[in-house]
Amino acid sequence: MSARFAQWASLSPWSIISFSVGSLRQLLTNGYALIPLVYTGWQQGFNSPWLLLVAAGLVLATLSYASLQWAKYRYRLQDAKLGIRQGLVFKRAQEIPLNKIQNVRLEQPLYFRPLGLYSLVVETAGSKQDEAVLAAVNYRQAMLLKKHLFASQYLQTSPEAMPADGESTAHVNEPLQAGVAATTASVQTWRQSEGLVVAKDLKALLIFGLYHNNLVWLSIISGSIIGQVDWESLGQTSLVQGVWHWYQANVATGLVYQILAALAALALLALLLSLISIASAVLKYYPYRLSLRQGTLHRTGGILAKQQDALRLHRVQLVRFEQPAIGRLIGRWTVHFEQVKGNEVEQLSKRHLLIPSMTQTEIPQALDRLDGLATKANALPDRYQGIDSGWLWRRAIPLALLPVVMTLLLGLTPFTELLFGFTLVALIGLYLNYRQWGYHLAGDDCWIHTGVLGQTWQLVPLSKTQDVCISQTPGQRRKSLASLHLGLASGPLVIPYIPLEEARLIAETALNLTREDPTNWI
Amino acid sequence: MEDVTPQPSASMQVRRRLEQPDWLAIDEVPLTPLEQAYLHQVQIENLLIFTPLLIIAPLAAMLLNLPGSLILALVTALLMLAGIVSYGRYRHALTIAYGVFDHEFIMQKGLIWHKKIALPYTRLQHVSLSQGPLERYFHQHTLKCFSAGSGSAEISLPGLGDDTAEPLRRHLLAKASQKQASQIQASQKQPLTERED
Repeated sequence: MSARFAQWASLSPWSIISFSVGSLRQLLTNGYALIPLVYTGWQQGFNSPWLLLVAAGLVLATLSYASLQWAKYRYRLQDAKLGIRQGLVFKRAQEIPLNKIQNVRLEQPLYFRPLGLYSLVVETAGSKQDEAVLAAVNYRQAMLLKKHLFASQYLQTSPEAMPADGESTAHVNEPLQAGVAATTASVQTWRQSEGLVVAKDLKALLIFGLYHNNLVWLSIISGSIIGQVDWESLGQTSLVQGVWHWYQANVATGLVYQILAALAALALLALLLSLISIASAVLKYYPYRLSLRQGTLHRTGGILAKQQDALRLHRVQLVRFEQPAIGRLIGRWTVHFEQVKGNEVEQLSKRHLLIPSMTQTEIPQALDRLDGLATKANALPDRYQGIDSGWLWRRAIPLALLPVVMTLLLGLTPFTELLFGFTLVALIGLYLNYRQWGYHLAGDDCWIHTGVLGQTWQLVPLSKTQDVCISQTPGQRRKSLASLHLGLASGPLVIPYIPLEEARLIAETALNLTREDPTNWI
Repeated sequence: MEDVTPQPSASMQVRRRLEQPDWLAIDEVPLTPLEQAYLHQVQIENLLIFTPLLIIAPLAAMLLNLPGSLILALVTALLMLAGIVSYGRYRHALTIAYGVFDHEFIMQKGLIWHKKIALPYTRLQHVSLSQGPLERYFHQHTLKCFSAGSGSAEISLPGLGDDTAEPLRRHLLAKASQKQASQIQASQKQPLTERED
């Protein structure tokens, strides 16, 4: 190892930008509360001197804090360890043994793109908080650092951290392609079954945005804004009045028209929300490329911030194939690779590495390439064993009794009528949930099927189970049924109300696979 | 109980799938129930929870000048609640049992939701032993076994006596590290020989 990085060195001053952005992001994500604040500021007028003063102070504080962070930041590579010192008041010294480094990834946020700088993120097996970020390095430096980080690992041949077939130097021996420096995915060796696994074009991502709406998240944000709008004065404006008159004159004449108008309004709303989610899908993932190198999945893409996520295949605990209601209509799946809980690829949103917009025929093609997964499965199953109807009755009967009892107590009032309506919807949802809940045991893999309107297949490699639990209520015992709980590092799973022998079969298969399994599963 | 001597686990046999009738399923193996002292502890806990409540509630009702019939109803309801909860906790304590086996640790619990949990030693991340003030008086310990991912314990076993808790913890840790040792050996692709322990 050369002595090049052996001395304590500081980062380039440009990293002040990334430190500022980092602390600003922390500030913003820690408070949805900021949204109403900004809104009130807007109501009161942004030219209020106080607001300007606060904003200026904020910028100044962020910049000076970031400068201090930069000034105190030192790193070095010595004794097969990456050492990092940082912190002004609360000093923090990190030492990462190089053989514990799981992955090194390059990121290029938007603000570094004009400068041609990168952030080098060093991932370890521990939690995401422990990863080290060397901000504002240029491409040559980044590659050199990467070489040093991996080279010593290669010398030590730590089999845990690196499949030892000498490929760790492959990155570096490639000629640097200056032109396509942004897509680091292009610097790679192409081998059999390695290389590009899936690429998604603009159309596929548009479809992904359409069917994969995240409405809940949106309603959280919009809720705080809608609460502040002055609806009464809005109702007085001529536009709203005009629309209302038109509605009274043309639509409110018949029930059919009214229903049609309501449906149209709902469709319009859904479309509007879809537009937002389509835009965010494209901004986040375009151009989507997933490639496989050295048993590690790499995802690149993103318009606003170029991002490269990496995930070792053997660390995947569970593969989830998700199909929301709209996705089911157009036959598209989203494939999620779930990791150990708390170690998600995207730290803030707790999202896993995903492949968007997969058709039924694309899934086997992709699965075939991923040999490193702990599963032998290569296609979605075409059937599943349903759960016992006892699950449904146990939930449906108390639920159905609620409005009946309320009606007996209160009589038929608008409230109980509403309660009947809600109960009916809930019962239908419960029934759909029951119909779709099932499992399919294929060799050492257990598939779990769930869903209400959409559907989800969870592919559980039973060798990844951490604990198994068979639970029985007295009623289940009489009918020799049981609920099976599988504990995985990505979270617990449950298959309720299945025959006891089946629960035992799955549990014992899992135990047989794990009890003598010498390999690291997380 | 079971043998505590480390097995020559490095000699990995080819894993054999047994036919189903040959298995003794995890919900059929015999387990060890907890000691009598834990039952006493649960009963004392019940007393400590409900006695103050049964004294304070009528006093407060009297201070508030509630009618006599209401106080009577309140006390009856409280007594019934105390009886049901105490009996439930007692019966729940009776259902707890555990077993230490060659490859996994098994625990059962639950009165209505009867659960059998099996945790293979290969998946054991760490073990903790804790003791509250009441437990200290009764010489009892709570053993918790953790696996990766979730922050909560996969197995939480109360009511272990002084003479079992510490040996059990040591045994579980030994088993776990023994599995890990074989893991390192296997990954270094060394010839698998019998280890001298």
